[in-house]
Amino acid sequence: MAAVLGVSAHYHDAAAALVVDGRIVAAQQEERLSRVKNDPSLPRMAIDACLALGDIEAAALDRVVFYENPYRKLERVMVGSFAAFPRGAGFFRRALRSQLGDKLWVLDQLAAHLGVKRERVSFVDHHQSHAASALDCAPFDDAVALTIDGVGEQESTAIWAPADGGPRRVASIDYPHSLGLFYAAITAYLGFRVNEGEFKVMGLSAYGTSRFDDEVNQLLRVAADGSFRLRTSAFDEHLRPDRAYGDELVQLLGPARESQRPWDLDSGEDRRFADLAASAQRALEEAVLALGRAAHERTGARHLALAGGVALNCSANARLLAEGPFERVFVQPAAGDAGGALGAALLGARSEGDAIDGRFDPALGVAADPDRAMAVARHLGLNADRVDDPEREAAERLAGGAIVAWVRGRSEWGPRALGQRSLLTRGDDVTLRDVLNRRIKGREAFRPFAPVVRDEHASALFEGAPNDMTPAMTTVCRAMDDSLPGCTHVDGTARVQTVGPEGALDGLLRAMEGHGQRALLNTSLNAAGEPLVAHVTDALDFFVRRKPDVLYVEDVRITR
Amino acid sequence: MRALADFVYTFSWRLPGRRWRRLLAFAEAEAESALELRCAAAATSDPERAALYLKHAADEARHAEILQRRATLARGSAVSLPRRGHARLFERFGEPVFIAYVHRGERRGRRQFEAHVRFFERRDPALAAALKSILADERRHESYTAELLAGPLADGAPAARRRARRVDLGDRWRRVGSALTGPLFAVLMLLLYVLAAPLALGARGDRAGWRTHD
Ligand SMILES: [Fe+2]
Ligand SMILES: [Fe+2]
Ligand SMILES: [Fe+2]
Repeated sequence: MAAVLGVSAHYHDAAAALVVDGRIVAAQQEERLSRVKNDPSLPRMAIDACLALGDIEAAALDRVVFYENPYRKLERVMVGSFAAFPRGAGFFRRALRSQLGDKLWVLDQLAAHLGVKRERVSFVDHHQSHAASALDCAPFDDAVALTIDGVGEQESTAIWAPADGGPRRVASIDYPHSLGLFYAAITAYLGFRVNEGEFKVMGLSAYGTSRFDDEVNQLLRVAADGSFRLRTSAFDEHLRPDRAYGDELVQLLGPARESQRPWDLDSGEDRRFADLAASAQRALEEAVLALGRAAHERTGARHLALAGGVALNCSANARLLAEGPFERVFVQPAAGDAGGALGAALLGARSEGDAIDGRFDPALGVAADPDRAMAVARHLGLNADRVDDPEREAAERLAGGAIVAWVRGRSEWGPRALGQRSLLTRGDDVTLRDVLNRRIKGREAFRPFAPVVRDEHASALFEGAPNDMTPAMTTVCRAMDDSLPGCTHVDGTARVQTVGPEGALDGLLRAMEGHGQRALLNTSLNAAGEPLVAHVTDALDFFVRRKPDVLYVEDVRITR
Repeated sequence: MRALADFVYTFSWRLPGRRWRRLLAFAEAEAESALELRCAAAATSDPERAALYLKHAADEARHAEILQRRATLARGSAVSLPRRGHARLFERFGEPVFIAYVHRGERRGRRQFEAHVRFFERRDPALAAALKSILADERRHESYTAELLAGPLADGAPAARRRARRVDLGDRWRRVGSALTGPLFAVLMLLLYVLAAPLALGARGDRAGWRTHD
């Protein structure tokens, strides 16, 4: 019986997670609390929040586990900069500065922040953290884990079999051959921010036709054994961490897109970029499918559990389930490096001898406090009142075309709003979608929105729904008809969320049925470039600045 | 005295090519303090102060937008804000020190903006007007933080002010320090890089394909 804190930090998306007696008690990404998007710094606020949620003192922690090996990571970075001699000099200097300034001392920093003995702080492998988070949270046995990201200490991809002490590595592929690096380079090439714009590339790809397959196949080649190879000379990530691609890639694909120019998909120039995104997305999907087949061949497992940043690519996940060899596929929703904190905590719990309780509900973050929301709202000059039946009332407003900010319970783990911190509106109205995109969220018009639907109506509206991925929106499904144009992508798919009877949106969706609506458009409660809301003050801040029609914090209704 | 301060604060406007960079640096500082104030709003136990911090944050976010737009105009092409963290002073030192620190920053910002407005009044009236609109907010920020330190946060306010002053001076000293040691560090690292490179000659290449583990 042990209390274990897992931590990821210092690369991107720092987070903390708390596992007590084998049960996941809390998990929180630092950006939600610090309000710094993709915050990589030591997650002091998230750590403190997790301890408070678990009602546990730092001194009572049996173990603190960091999600990767900082020393092996340093080694890879150093060796990589020497391999690029002499061009790696600038990278070497920058890397040493950040390594010596911060990263190398992370275990000591954790001990100091928590006030625990240094011996109680240990580390595990990066990809093993990802694998543990996937296998332990998956709703099935007889599984193999596949972890795919940019890079951990040395590997970018690995296949894992479940074992008592934590996942056992079956096979792996080393950096710089990396699907995460490939997709990051395309992201940067298209003018988006690396580690953040990857979703945009996926959204954009649906607008293009993949007419650059030959060129992209020269960059990323899949082998007969399911492994893949990058043309590494086109991806000099060492030298330009914000760019990840080299001149050779530009020679092959043409000039890169400048980041600031607004998108115009009617222009020939931007069509070319959309077509390139389509080819890159297709290549990624083929490579992921090949990895899935290899994982099945090597283990014979019937089910697949995914994690690592590439597992955030929901279109690739959908193809894995539809065309791959597995009966069921699950993705741990915080598949990126934030999720490493959860895996590290679970691995720590195993090494303390605890059995893992596999029940997993993503509502693991800080709680909503309606009393406080009401008090702060009134000091902001807003109207704040308790209402008897917020679901019924909100449903009426939604049916009338309102845009509703919805805050309920503990905030969600992972990049998606799942009804705990959501913006909602009708899904059958493209005008509302456009208002939401431009006025409320301030983001590119090609970014799709997602529908949310109760389990029992899912199969009538979406092919293959519900499945193990739809509760946390880690896959896409084809819409049966065009009744939800506001939240169906141009290619006819949707990143649908399905809600069971316990879900945060179940009551509201039931109330919507009285208005003839079986689904709602559900998007994250944040503006473009900002982290998802966590505390009620963040929700009020959003409400004042971005002006949705109404904000509900549990049963407190806030209007202007 | 004011003439000297004006000269110091406005000196770099006179340098060629610096204007948009400086405006962008201002925008960054405003955006950073907006984030920190939102954290403070979440952290304070008092709902009234939470509301004050949220309003303040909205002002700073608006300032960041105005200055970013001005930087874009001065440069002639779009500039975006680099994303940085913030100092997390509330979390590190508590509310009184945080507010004392914010108050210091507002006072300094107000003085600087007064100098900038005077500098641009005839040279670039549109920019001067934009800066003036910001200045009005900064005066309000300066005074409400003073009121908090005299009222609800008065307990231990003198100590908080002293602490904030040390933190502020420490920050500035560190900036000077890293500006001075940066080049030295760069030279040393280049030397180390060249000397150590032969040792890494046998290093692992970029091996593709599966590695199997038993
Ligand atoms: Fe990772
Ligand atoms: Fe300001
Ligand atoms: Fe201010």
